[in-house]
Amino acid sequence: MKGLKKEKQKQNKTKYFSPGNVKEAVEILAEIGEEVEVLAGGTDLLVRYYERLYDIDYLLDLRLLEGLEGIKLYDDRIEIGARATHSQLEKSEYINKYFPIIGQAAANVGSPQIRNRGTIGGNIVNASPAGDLLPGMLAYEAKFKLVSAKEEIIVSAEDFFVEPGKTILKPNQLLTKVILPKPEENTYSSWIKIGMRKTVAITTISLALVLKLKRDNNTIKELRTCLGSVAPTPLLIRELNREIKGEKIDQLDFNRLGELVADIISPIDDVRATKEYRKEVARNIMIESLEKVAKLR
Amino acid sequence: MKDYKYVGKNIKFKDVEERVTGRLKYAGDLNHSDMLYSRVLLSEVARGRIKSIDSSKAEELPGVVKVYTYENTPQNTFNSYNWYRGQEVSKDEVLLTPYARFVGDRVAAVVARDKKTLQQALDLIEVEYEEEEPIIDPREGLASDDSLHGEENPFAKQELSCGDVEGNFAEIPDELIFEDELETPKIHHATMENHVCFAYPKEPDRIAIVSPCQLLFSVRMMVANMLDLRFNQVHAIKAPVGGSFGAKQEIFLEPLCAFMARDLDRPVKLEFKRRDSILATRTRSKIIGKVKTAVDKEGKIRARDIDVLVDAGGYTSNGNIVSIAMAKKVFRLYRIENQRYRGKSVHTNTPIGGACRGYGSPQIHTLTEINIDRVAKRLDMDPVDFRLKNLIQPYDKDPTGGPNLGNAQIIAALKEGAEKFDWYNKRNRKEDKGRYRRGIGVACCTHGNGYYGAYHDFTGMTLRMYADGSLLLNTGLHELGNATLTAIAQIAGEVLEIDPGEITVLEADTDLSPYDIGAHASRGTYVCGMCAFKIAEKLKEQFLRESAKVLNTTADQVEMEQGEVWLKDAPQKRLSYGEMAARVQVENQRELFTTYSYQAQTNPGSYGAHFAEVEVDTFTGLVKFKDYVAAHDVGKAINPSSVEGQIHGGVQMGIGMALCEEITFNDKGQPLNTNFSSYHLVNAPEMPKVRVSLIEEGGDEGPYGAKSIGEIATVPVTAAVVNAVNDALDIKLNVLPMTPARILEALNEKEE
Ligand SMILES: Cc1cc2nc3c(=O)[nH]c(=O)nc-3n(C[C@H](O)[C@H](O)[C@H](O)COP(=O)(O)OP(=O)(O)OC[C@H]3O[C@@H](n4cnc5c(N)ncnc54)[C@H](O)[C@@H]3O)c2cc1C
Repeated sequence: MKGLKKEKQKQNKTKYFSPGNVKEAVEILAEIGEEVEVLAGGTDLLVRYYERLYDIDYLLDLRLLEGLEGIKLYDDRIEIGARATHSQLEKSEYINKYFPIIGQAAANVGSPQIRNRGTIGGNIVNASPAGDLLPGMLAYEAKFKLVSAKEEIIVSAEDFFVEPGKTILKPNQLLTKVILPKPEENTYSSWIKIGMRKTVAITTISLALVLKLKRDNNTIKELRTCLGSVAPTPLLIRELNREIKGEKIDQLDFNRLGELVADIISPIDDVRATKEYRKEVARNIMIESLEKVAKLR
Repeated sequence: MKDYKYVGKNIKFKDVEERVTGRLKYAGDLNHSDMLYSRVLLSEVARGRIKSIDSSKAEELPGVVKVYTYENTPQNTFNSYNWYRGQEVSKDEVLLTPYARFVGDRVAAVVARDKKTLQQALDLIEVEYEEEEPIIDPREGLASDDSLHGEENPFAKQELSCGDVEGNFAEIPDELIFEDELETPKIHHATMENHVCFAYPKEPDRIAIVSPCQLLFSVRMMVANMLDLRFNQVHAIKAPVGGSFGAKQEIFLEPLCAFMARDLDRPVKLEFKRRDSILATRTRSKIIGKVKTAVDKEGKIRARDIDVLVDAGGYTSNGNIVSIAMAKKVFRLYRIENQRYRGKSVHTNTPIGGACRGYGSPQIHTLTEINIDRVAKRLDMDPVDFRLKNLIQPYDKDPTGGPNLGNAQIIAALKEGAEKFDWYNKRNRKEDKGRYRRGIGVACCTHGNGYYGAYHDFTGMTLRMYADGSLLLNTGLHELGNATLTAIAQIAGEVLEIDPGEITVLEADTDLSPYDIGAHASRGTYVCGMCAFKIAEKLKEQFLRESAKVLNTTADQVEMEQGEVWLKDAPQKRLSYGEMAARVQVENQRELFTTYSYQAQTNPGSYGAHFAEVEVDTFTGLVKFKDYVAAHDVGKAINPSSVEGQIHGGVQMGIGMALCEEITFNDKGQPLNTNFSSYHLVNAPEMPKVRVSLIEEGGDEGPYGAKSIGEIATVPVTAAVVNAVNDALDIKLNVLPMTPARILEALNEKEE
């Protein structure tokens, strides 16, 4: 692998790699470092470089990489290969059974063409505040497997996102897997995405909610609420949980929680909506989400 | 009504298969050996004189052929809206500017050997501006007397009126005077095909320009003017159009492209990307309008006063003409004896306004139809009934002296639409109280049929029948994707008793076809279709005459039908058109061939009434459609399925204007949405099922009674939707588009 970089500098053309396994891939990353762009479905990457592909020095295509595909069920978890597409998630029996809102969120992504190409790995590493799989990842306590030539590590979704487009993933690492712990009994979830239209719309605001109840199927054990597009990264609202732990879902004041969410977040104005709009809708969809999960019981 | 063979039938659009399979070659698909590629660098500042442009790095890039700026291009001014020689227009645009007047102004152009190098070269051009304070809000433009062009701002004022407006307002008590305001956004045409053109030098000393345009002969004129050539040195060729809606009506790229091709003596293709198209083509003009309506107690409109401010953007283009076009519409829908329209047009440091489907008609109707609705409601009258009381009647006069309204069937359209929509029952529904609220809205409108009454309006054609009976109709027309040429073939086929498939209709080519003033003003079917009708009649006469000679008889003894010709007395002995045409050539020694020039003599109104039922989610401000009915007085639908297609598309555009389409700017004039991820159009899943009613009463001059549909289809949509949303929520939103955020804001204001 040595000497890759020198060769490239002479040519002023994009150098393309399509390794067959993770080991080869991470060696390329180790050798060249941050100038490599990793290509999965390309639905974010190629848009970012639209008209400026000449700016890409090295391209590492994951298409032939073994070990990054598929959705596997284990006793205590599901593992999703980084190359699994939104279409696969949307149609997966395991996902829809154990993590229905990941399937719903995947179904909300773009259009069929985008869902057929776009991958879970790309969605996560791209780290857009509007990335539709991200709130669900935090709400379900997902973990990501990051592999470099030196080591393999597991990090939690909550610690992964730093700012728009930025994560703790290092240039020499590849995201290979998403690990979702199987939910305990009496876990209910809801996903709501609001965009300017029903399809092919960047999320204006979204909310993933996972409610865990105790054995009585009423007392709240944990409420995990994560909003998209209201902060630089997906926003897990821990405060709520403290506020209501131990309360009973059938006695919970949904409006109060809605207000709380609206108070806690501090979104910004952008071309899609104002901050006031986001706050108001956050309250409304929080209430709606609670109503939804309460009904699922 | 007479039963026609081809007219009124859903005959397949001529090149539909090529279009949907991607085989049709658009201008962007054309390749010449030796061809060079070009793109334009747009200004990044809203206002500022260029201090320096350094293109040296771009020029050093391998593959770059030349960089153009104001320093090496002609600086003669033009107006992109200029469509005929002798027209008075204010010329304030140049090919490449030394002084940027909006983000998107053309600053430089790069020509390179390959497409890939272009963006890189554009990135390497360094421009320094002496930045100035921009005018973004047209109201500021009005207040500041700061002009972008060394003249007054507003640069144009218009007034049109009838009766005694002030006198009548003085007589009516305040509680019967109703005032409304409206602000409409700058809208992108969103054609699928971005702007593109292709120029190549032609020997001897000529230049060819291929363009997907609406006014090919004007392209020829503009290129000739810019390059200082005679008209016959320019060969303009129309390319298939991948959507235009007025965007490709104005001419600004072709002269630049032709100039570069001539300068380099090489074929040059100049292409826009989506961002370029959003910023640097034309937009639907933004307006800020006020309307005041005085009624009597019985609900009759006594007087109306309208004030409109037009935001023309950085250059004049049609900024004054669009205001006049708006003015004319308001006198042709309701019987209002005392009415005044006053318009002012201002320059701002924002993208240029220009032709856009309806040419001001959607904006002005949105303003007035929202007001009409509110007047009705405040009088406690049903909005349909209030309109019925005040609408014009067939053959009414235009009170400002414009052309007669013709067989104007707006009342029939409104009644039929209301019935189909089940208006009265829907209106009696109980008001929703919960999260989801339903509302219904209606709007009426009128639009023209050509230029008669305003400009010269004529077209020429030649028609020949070949020796095998097939026909060639040579025209100066422009197929814009709305099946104009198919309709033309249906009309000629009906007259000539021959399958339209047997008639090849050619579109404009300035070297080969007769002159046509262009595809604008909703004149394609009404004016040009009539020319096709007349020329077909002429050829039919000739055919009968020449057949009579062959058959040794007189023309009145010859019959022709369904592609066959025979002697009245011997119906069993029939010749095909082809057999006869061949004999005419051999025996009479002449070609069946005629030419015709047709002048429009009338300009009736087309009319439409649209009905929308919406459901608004008060949690999110999102609007869903429950029903949509569009009723149109089209005189006669030559091809009903393409008429319906036009209406569906018109509804799609109008909903966009009502709910989501807007090019937004910050206070520095920086656009915030220059691609389709943030500039939202209504896509298929959002569309209501549009139910169409056609009123086909004929009665006007057009072929088989047909009138226009392409533009008017989008005219009433926005008002109907806005009225429905306002009805659902009992709010009075007057800034478009009604985005979810604006809807929730209006709801909150109401509650406070
Ligand atoms: C029209 C359109 C509509 C869209 N709509 C939505 C939507 O509704 N919701 C939404 O969330 N997104 C949407 N997207 C964005 C995009 O489709 C998704 O984020 C998608 O999941 C990205 O996946 P990808 O495989 O295409 O990523 P790529 O573009 O291939 O990669 C994205 C980034 O992740 C990096 N990367 C990818 N895989 C790995 C890996 N295994 N290890 C390390 N780095 C990696 C790449 O280097 C790149 O920086 C849309 C995009 C388009 C073009």
